[in-house]
Amino acid sequence: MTEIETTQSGQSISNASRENHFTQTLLTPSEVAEAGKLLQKLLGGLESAILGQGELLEMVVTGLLSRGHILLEGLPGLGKTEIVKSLSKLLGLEFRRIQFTPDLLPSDILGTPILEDHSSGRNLVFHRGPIFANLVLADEINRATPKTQSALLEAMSETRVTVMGESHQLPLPFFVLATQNPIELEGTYPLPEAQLDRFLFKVDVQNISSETLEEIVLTRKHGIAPKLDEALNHSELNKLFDLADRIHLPKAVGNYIARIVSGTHPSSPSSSEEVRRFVRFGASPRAAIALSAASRSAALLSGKPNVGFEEVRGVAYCVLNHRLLLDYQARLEGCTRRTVIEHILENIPEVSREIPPDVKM
Amino acid sequence: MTDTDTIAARFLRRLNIGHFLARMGEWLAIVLSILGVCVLVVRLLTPDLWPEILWLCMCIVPVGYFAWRLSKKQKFTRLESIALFDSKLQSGGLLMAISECHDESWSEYLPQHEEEWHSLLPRIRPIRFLKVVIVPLLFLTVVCLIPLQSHSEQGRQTGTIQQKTTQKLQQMLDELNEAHLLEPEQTQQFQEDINKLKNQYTDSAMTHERWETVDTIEARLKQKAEQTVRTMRQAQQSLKILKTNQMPSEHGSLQNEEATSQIKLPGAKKRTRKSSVDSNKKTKNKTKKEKSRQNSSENRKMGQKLNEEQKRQLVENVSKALKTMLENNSDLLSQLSPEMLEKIQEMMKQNSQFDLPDDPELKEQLLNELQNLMKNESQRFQEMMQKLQRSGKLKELQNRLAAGQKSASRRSDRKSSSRRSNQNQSGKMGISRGPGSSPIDGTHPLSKSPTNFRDIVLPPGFRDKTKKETARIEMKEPEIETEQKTIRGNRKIEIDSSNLESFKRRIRPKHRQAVRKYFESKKKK
Repeated sequence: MTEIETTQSGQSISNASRENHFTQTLLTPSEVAEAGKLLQKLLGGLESAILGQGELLEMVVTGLLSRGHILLEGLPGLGKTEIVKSLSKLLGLEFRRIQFTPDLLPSDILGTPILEDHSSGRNLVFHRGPIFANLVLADEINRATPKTQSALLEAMSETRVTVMGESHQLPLPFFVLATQNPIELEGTYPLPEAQLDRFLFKVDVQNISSETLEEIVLTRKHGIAPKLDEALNHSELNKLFDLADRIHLPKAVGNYIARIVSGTHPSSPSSSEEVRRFVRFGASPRAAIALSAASRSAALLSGKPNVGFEEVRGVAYCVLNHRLLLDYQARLEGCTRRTVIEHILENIPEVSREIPPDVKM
Repeated sequence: MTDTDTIAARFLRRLNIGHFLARMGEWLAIVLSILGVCVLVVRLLTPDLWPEILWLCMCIVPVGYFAWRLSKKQKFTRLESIALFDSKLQSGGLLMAISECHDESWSEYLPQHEEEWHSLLPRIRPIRFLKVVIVPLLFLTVVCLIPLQSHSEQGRQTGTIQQKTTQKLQQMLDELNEAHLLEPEQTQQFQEDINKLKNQYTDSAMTHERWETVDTIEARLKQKAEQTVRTMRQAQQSLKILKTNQMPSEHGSLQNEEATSQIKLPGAKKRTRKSSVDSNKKTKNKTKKEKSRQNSSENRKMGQKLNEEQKRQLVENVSKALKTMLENNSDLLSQLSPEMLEKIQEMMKQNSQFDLPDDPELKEQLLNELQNLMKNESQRFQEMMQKLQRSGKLKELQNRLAAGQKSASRRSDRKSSSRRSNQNQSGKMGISRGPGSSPIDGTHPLSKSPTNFRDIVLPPGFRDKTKKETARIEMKEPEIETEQKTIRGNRKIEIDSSNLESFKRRIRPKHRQAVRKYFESKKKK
């Protein structure tokens, strides 16, 4: 019987996978091929439900494989909710949606103990809230009060809920996919940095092209997505999780990740001039952990047994986007997070040392 | 199946070589630039250090060593080299994964053949190294080709001329020593003078004073040589006369006349000493022919036999010559036969001076041998004199360098006379520097090391002589100092703005010579 332990991120890993995490054997090509098939199946199902958002879907799947929580930010009607619904269907996971409003209370999310009358007497019975699901959609999370937002903190970080001194474990796998509207910010409560840091990704949901719109209009009636069947069962999903954990992270890539995260701090000697000018606070070590996990998932998605530099660059924006706090100078000069992250990635070389100029490849 | 570790090791080696070349290039560029600057400074300012400054190029070796040590400390690690190789291969980290995990299951996704790996390995092309080094190297080369500056060349030329002149003097001294023309004490004295000349005037130009010093030493050397040669000639003539035992004829050679005149000299010399001043005046008027007639009045007859006094004089001449030659060359008598040598030694013991033996055979033998000896020595001296004459090239050197430098008067008299003539000119401090190139620094030229100049110019012992003997007594007009004498006519008393009286004497040019001559003659007295 495998023992289940929880990691710092609150996700459970088996002993076998834990051993594999530290062993130096690569995934076999067959394993990678099998994982690729499963993931392609998943992606295919998602793409059939959500049109014209290929990159977004890959990011979501990557985040999912990394067992992290995702924050989706985009205009209304771009399919954010639909993504989560489709995902739940394809994965056969329990899905709950929480619509965050200003009057939402923490107990509405976590659950409340209710006094019940029984023949034996009156007991306080904890009634679980909507958070007790595999996939939780926190819609417009920035509309709820900070008190309510903080109710998610423990759940997201430790996959458990404590109510009235009693802890209740959340079901695994547990994902929170939150959404927020970049417009209509009046009366909203921006997420605190502490909570933002707990999201693995913050993905910007872009507008779709006119071709995609045409396809939607022609193929969907009332915009209803086609019915989706389960693509991955629970065991297959666990297997994918194990394989993602076994993806090899070379030391040079780990060094690259560390230099990227260090480069986001203005006080770091390796930071560039733009970082010093526009960034107020850089990313935390949790960003480096998130970057490595997301890179592994990206590598598995790419069909590789190891993480490469391009995987790190591919997920860097989503991982670092919400972890940098820019200065007013950036706002004045119109410098966005994307610009800063692109600048960081350009200036930090993949290998800390360059090939000497007298050596020609 | 290729060994990725081997390939990785090769790649690492090439990276480290490239790193070393990068460091070496930077350091070499700096060192070459510094060397170039040093060489430039030497070529322009201190040419004496050329070409020894080029030894600094040896510092490239320790620089190379330090560059190698530094590159070794900062060398690429295996992981870095594999990461670089992987990024260049664009294998997506597979090479890194395989090298770390040693899992060969993915090797088929990498190049399989060794040729492919070799084609992927980098090549060492030290283009940057050359680019970095070429400019300082060119700078160093160009700087080495810059011609040395003129003032330095002049200094070197001056130094060379100094060296040449002292070399010539040294050569003359050595030749005279070889010919045994000088006594050891004299040689030492001359050597000291030459060494003084070498040491004191190494870094400055040759002035007229220094040329005078050189000329004086040269003249003294020649004088010594001529003196010895003259003595030798006298002895030769004396020996000839002694051999024939008769006086030479009236119409004989000039040498004979000299010899006969020398015979009379002991008597004639005393007379000239007493009336030195008058005889100087008289002998100037007489010709040489009249002199020889006077001196040979007693020996007008041909073939007259020598009297005792004459013989004694001749023997004295020979003895004097032998003494001089012995002082210069103690091994001289070894040229004589052992018998003669013994005889001479016996004679010296008995009589404490050289004399001819009574035995006519012995006498003739001795005279012959002495004649041969004198002949050999005189031949040698002749050659020596010819060499010394040739060494008059010192003069040529002096004349060549006299461009812009006019040699001032070699006699201090001219200096003093010109000084006197300038006494009445204000602002000159009563000093006339002449047209020489002596530096003007406001001090009296004679105050600068006067002792050295006087020691070299004046004959030795000159300053020590104190002439206390009374030459003569004569009646003369009383001496009147010109300062107190009133000058007729042109005297002017002027009162200038400072209310001081000044006397202006204007001596016409034609009177200046007379005045000068008067004072010169007064000094001679």
